[in-house]
Amino acid sequence: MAFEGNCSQNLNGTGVGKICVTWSSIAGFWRAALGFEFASESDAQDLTKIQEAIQNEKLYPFPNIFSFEVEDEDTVNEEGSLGIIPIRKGKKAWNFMIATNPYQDACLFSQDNASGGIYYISTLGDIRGITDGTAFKPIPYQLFQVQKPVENNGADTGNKTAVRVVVADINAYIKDVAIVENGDITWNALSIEGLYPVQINVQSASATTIVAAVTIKSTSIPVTGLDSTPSADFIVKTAAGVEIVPSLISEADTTGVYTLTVAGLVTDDTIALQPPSLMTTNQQTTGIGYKGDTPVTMTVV
Amino acid sequence: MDNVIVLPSGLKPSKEWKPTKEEFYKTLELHLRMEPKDRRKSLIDADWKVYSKTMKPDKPKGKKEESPI
Repeated sequence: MAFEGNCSQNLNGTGVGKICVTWSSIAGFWRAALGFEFASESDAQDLTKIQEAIQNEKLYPFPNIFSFEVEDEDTVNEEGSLGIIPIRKGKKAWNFMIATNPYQDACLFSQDNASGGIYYISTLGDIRGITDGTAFKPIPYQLFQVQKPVENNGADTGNKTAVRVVVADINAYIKDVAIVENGDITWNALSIEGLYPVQINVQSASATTIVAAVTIKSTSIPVTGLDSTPSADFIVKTAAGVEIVPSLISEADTTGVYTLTVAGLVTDDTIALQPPSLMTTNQQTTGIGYKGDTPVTMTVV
Repeated sequence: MDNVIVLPSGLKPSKEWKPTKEEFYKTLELHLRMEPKDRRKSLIDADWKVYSKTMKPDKPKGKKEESPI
């Protein structure tokens, strides 16, 4: 099924009461970087394209929402040929409360005030945005605020993060709404996860060997199963930025501690993870990937 | 994967790596340090057998190219 939802006769401010979009059906959303769009509907159905967008840091899936409220713009009464009817003018704000995990909080908060647009996922698993007839674009917003996570206070379950999105032009969305239907995709849009920020802690470094622990930031949960093929996931460089390819990489008993054999290491050489789009381990079905921290400088002893 | 050798232990050394037998054993001792000592030795022996066979010199000695004339 192609794009659908031509609701051009239902523009806000026209006095026509029928609303073709059910706002309360939002179950999740992806923030898109400024200028990002899927070239076509079929691209938005392609999990590989979505992974690529996530790994290139153009698309940021947020965890499923905990609660959702629509804050309508001011309503005014206007007299017209149909009598006095309430007209909505101005902006529409979406207030999301999402249940977060500590390892995601830092990543989510980093999106605060970032420019761009939003795709939302309905409770039916549809992906909704707008279209010009060809591209599948995010709904532009004029404000995207992410509150610092609120710790679990015991009364509720889990941590919570509030996100407020003020849609730039709600009429544009109603007029140009485009839907990629759940039935047209073979994966679950609500299961798509974003990049996990990770860090490397060098435990020891000698002239030939690096022992480094890789963990999720915030929680120190070990990142296990990174690819041990030299240069697949890890990258070692000299202080001048020249790559030194390891001879051998291994993980000690799936503990997230990796041993790298590298010839001629000296102090100030660095170790890092490859950019997300180049990491072998990122190619997973849910779109999850790792975003390494800045390169860690080693002191060789 | 073209530039690595997959050893029986699961380790994947780069083909660019040209260690001596002593260096090979010493390095693999480190990478397989979590294995029990007996198993570690048999793993390294098996790895060396595969590695040394795969990484034999490109041009075997004693074999000359035939003259085109």
